[in-house]
Amino acid sequence: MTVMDSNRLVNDYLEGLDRAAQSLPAERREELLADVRSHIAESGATTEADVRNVLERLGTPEEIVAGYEDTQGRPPPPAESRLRFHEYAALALLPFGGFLFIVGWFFGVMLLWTSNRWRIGEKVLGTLVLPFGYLSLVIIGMLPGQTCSEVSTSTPTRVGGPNPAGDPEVIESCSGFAIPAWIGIPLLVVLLIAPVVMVAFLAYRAAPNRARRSTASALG
Amino acid sequence: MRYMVAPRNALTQLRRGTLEYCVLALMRTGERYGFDLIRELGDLVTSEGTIYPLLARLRREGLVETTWRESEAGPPRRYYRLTEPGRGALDAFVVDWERFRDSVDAVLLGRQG
Repeated sequence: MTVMDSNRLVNDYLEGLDRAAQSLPAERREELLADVRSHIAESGATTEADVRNVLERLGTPEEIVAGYEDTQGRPPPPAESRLRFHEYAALALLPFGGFLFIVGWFFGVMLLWTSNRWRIGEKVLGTLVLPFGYLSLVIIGMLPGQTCSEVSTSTPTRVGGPNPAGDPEVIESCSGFAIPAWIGIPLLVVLLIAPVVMVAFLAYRAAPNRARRSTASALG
Repeated sequence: MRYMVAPRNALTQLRRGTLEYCVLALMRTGERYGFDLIRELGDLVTSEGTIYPLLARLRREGLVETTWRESEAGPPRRYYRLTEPGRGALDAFVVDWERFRDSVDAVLLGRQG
């Protein structure tokens, strides 16, 4: 019966609503979530029992989302069960568009932000992972890294010095900045994989068939 | 089979068809916000959350317009106001509804229209 418990109830409910609303255009989904969030706040319920009551009266997330398709045989919001060319192009240009004279990436970002299939957070993710896509990796790879030169001398310069066995003395001199390999290699792997994961995630979030089907089956 | 109450489905269908006009009617006297509308609709809404998709549709159809505004105490509210087309749709439905109701009553209750 704590405020924490009721906050969790509300959060769980809103998450369920967000999932059930996957088939709606992002804009409409945001609007619905804002409305329902405001409704719960407006109810002034704080105890767990009160919150439960408010959520129960709201109905299940599936019932609410079905409200979009529920009116006098009016058609449901435009069927968007398949990814359109718009989204495919965005998902291809984000990782690889940089190679198309750099502008390709900007074009991908534009398509990403003008699509209604993603939410703001997903659009930010698509833009930041990675800026200019794989082109930036190639550029990082071409930056002048650390250069080292080794000079070895087989004859000790000092007799009776600390090198009596006559092992070759190696003088190493380095210049420039380098990331140690134990950071560099995992970092490179992460940077290689991140755009793939990002594209897969955005493709998943943009394709609503899965959510729509489960909503339909929940409604019987 | 004899029904003790009206078949559930018929009531659902009636609600479905009339609810949006009841919502519009509540805005006749001025702007309202969602929670306030729901309170006033009482038994007419079963799952209260479904009012929000309905309001969103009314707005898309241009029958209502909305503004977000701070309330004196508490969270900001989305206020809904009737537009001219909304008022027109409501008036037209009221005429249709009265005619429909009279016809149903005449048959159902054996009154002479």
